[in-house]
Amino acid sequence: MSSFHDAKNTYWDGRFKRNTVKLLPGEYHSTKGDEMLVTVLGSCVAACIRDARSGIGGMNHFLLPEQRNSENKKNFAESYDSSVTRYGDLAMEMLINDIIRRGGDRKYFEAKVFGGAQMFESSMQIGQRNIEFVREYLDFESIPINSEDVAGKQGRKVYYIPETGEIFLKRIVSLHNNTIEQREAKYLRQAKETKTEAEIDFF
Amino acid sequence: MAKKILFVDDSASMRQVVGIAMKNAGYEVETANDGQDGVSKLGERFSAIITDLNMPNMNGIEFIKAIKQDANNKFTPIIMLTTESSDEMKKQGQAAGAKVWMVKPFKPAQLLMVLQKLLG
Repeated sequence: MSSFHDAKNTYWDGRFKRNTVKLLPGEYHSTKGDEMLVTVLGSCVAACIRDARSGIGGMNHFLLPEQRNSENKKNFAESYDSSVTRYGDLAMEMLINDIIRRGGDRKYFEAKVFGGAQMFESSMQIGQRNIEFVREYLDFESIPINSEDVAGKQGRKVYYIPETGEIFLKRIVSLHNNTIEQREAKYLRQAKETKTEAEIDFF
Repeated sequence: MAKKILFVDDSASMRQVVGIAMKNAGYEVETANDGQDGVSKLGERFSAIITDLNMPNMNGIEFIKAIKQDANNKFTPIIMLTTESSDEMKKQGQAAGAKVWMVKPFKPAQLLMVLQKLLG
């Protein structure tokens, strides 16, 4: 079973005047209408992908549970043997499939990438490897990245409107609470336990 | 002669992953980007066909239906390789004529194991 879910948490955003879907780590969501998507990122990354012609698009929010083999110069396809690559690939494919299912056309896909911050000393490589993975994946799929805001030391709150492609980004200066770190640490534990082998049915 | 497999997936990374795995195992591989592209390759007989489900232009279920109408590949075993895991979709796939349903993510070795089981 995959640990990726379609985000269900919605609210009316009075400031933007839009129905809004809030994504947590391990979630994705795509939309055909005028919904807005929002998420808060620490070392996790979010890929925002849309069909620039129809405005059908969506977002995911994930991180790679561990170091990838590709650090030993393997290319994406060869490193698919590692469960970490399979996990990241799934995060991207679940989102892309969802956009295609709603009628998005791959030919017109464009992407924006956010997150991968170094929230505390030890998380530097976590953020960096997530950024590298997403860039590598999108490059492989010939999906152009037309803007990104990644790395650094601060968390981010990202609002995305697939209909128009607009992004509103807020940096989070964490003073008293470490909600983002706690949430991501919990998600990281789940990600590590995710099964990355296929279930097979013979008919 | 090497057995020839048709692999259909809209993801370039998947095409490369599966292409490398099967070539390393001694199979010959033909790839297609979506169901429609897959149909255009049905001029010859394949030992097995592996297809994704969610693809632009023609999805995997429609593609399987087209394979079943093709004189060359009517009896070719079909493997569905997809992120979809719902029983309802599996039923549709089975009804259309899929022999195997594999839910991504998968280990390349698992796919080779399935092929070996189907092709001997």
